[in-house]
Amino acid sequence: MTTGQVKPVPDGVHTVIAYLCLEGAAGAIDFYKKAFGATEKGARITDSTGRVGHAEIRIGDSTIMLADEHPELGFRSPLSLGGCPVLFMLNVPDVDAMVARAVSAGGQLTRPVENQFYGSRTGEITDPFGYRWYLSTHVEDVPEAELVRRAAEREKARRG
Amino acid sequence: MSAADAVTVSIEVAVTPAVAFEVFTEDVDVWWQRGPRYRFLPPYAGVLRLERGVGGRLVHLRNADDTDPFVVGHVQVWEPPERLVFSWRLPNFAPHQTTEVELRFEPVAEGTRVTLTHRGWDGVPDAHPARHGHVGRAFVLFKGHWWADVLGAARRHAEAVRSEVDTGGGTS
Repeated sequence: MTTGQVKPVPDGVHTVIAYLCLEGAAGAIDFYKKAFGATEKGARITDSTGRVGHAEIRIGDSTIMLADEHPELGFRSPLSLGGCPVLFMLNVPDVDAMVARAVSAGGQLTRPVENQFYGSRTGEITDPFGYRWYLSTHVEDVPEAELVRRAAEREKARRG
Repeated sequence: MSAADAVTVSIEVAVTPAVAFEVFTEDVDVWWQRGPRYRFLPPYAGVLRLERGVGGRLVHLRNADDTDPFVVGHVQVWEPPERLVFSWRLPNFAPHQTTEVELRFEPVAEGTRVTLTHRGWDGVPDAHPARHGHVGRAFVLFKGHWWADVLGAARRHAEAVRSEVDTGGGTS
């Protein structure tokens, strides 16, 4: 139900917002600040034990919400689940610089930075909290015919 | 003490601690939202006032001439521009029930980190109407989002005042 005068989706709110469940949310916020230049936006809500109930950060033009895990509510983090089925694309101006920055902040390089046939230069960081970030910089506009040719060449090379 | 005894909400405000402390305290009636969600007694408008210094009261006057205002609490610590503590009671609290609100103002690169802790909720029973049905983590989020709204209003006002000062504008 909506009532008059309100915007059902307020200005500046994106349709999809990731909400990360973390073991050690406060440390993760610090990591995302150091690694990806995140800023903390909005209010951080914590309980008597320091457990984060809600926080919001901004990376580039995107908002990410996060909280500490609450296993009693079935809200569990990648570390406690022992894996993570989600990967975040992070589109940045300089993938080499940001991957280096993320590694020095404590991230693990899980795929090296290299050029991809489709015109992106990419690398992957797994953060200390179990989430994977696939960083990408657009380096080349590849025409459709060239894209098809490279894909075929790549497939051929793969089959040996 | 339970995990839900204290609710802490922290925000950054783009003004100095001195300005933040002054605006948060002195201008409380200007920035504190009106309406039943935010004010204490009908008609949910009236005047909110925080009296300066230890022993000062946070009062809600039903109108400017109210001689018997509702007393939310009393200032226990007054240390501008760093720290402020006051007691906090709602109109539906029993005489022995009270809680405490602490505000800290810390300088950060972008201005001030304002951290509010509202503690003492273990003394308010689970069924108390002030909880609106929430206990444990749900109460922390319920109260936390309420304070986040209130502090957000204070921040908007503080930053607007700051920009008026910066530009030499303003009407007063």
